[in-house]
Amino acid sequence: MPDPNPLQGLYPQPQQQQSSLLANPVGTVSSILQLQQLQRALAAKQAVGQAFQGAIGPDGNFDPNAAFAGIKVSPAAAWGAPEAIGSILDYRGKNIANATAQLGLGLTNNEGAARITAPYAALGRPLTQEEQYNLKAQLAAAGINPATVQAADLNGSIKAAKAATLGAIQTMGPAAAATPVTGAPQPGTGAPTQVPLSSTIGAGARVTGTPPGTEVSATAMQNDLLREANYGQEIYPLKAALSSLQALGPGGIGPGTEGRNKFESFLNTIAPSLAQYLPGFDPTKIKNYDEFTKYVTQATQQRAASMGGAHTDAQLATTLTGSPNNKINDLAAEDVLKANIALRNMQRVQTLEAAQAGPVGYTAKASTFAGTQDPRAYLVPYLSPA
Amino acid sequence: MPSALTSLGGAPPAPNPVPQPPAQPQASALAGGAPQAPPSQLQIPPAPDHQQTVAALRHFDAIENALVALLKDPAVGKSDLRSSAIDQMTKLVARGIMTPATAVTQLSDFPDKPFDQKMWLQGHLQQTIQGATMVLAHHQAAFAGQDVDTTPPSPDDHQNAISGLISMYKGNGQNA
Repeated sequence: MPDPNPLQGLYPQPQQQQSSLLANPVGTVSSILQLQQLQRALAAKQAVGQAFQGAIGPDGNFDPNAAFAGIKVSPAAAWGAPEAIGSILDYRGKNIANATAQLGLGLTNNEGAARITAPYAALGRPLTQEEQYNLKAQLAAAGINPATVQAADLNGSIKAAKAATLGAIQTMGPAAAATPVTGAPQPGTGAPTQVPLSSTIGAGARVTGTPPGTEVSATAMQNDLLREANYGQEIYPLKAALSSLQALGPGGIGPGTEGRNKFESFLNTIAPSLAQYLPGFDPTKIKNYDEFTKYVTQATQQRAASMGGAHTDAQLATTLTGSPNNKINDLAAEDVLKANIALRNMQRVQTLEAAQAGPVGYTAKASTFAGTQDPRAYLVPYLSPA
Repeated sequence: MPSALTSLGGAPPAPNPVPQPPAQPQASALAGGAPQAPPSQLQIPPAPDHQQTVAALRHFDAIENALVALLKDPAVGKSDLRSSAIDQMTKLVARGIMTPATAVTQLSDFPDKPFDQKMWLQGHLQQTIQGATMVLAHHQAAFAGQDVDTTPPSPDDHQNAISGLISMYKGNGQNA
């Protein structure tokens, strides 16, 4: 059907009625609710954003724990908390990666941390969970940020530190990397060593001095070895005294024998031809008695001298009391002589064995040796046949 | 799932190697004229040593792994995860991380509604992360720069180590 009035379009048309609040009340309420939700969502996003922003530290690292705390205390963030916490889990993963990289850099630049990590890195395999817990506790005690230590994957950190070390070596060039520097002294001997510079990068502080106590240990070893140089001179009087005592036989020495021997020696000196007719007189015994006395006195003097330092009357008296002499029973004197010889031999073995550990470990080795040996074993060569 | 900090007797105090002066006593205590505890009884608890710190890290790490496993479940917040939570708790008990009695107590606190379960898991994950960091910080504050005994503790003795740690922090709670 054709338009009845083609010119109608040229006339002004009445204005269409604008949609008002009353035109569609249901749609209006829905729009208001949507607007409110949008506003709440925007406020929540802003609050969550502020919490996240406050969780970024001065060093630029994100702390998810601080973000959690910020969301918890902000009422506006409650609307978006579930989604935000879901994001925090993602950030937690990223934070682990950041902490791992940060700790790896710290292991390269922090000597204390590098020294702690070096034994673990030298294992050449991924650390077990238990090893990681141990290392984390040690790194925290070394002053590394606990949050970083807690979040970091230590296997990744060690790998990053090794990569940084390798990069440093490559940067310095092969010639500089091979430059010899002072290394750790040889264990035991304490002899100085040299290592290439590349091996010291990322390994923390280098131990170039000798361990504590080395000087004392070395001095003790030298003194003991000097004494062993005189072993023959020390042991001869003891063995000679033992031989003389055994030659004297039962009752050869003891209380009163000194006067008798002096009397017999006097007679033998002034009238040897007459003395031989006296009952019980034996010139050989006079000789053995005097030799015994001479050698035990010599041995006692050497014992006193071996004590070193300034001697006192009390020290000498103690040495005399503890040494065999002609005033004690012959049976006791023989046992004491044998014990002295055995102990001296044990001391010699101890010195020579401990000296093999070198000056650094001499005292430690000597102290260990003494506890593992039975002095009675050194008496065996001097025991009488059963 | 367990509350990591609750199982350790609550969150450890902020690390502070210098004992703080005691807090202001309550007015009722002053009014009653009750003898006040000497300052020495209001000290922060002793810091965990190396062995206790390692045990705490092992404890928190095991719980964190269990919580993360549940949170990564696509059904979290939508379906009931109680059976999965029981499975994770059983694993913790089997590893000796938690005693059966503690596990039952903690499971009784697990919500019924899926959304509440998700919030519960997220909250406990937050506490677990904070707990591990705080124990490390407490250990650092007390032992930084010192030559400590770093003998690794045996995982077989985990329960004893954790019990000692709980007693240590609970002791503080009673005194403070």
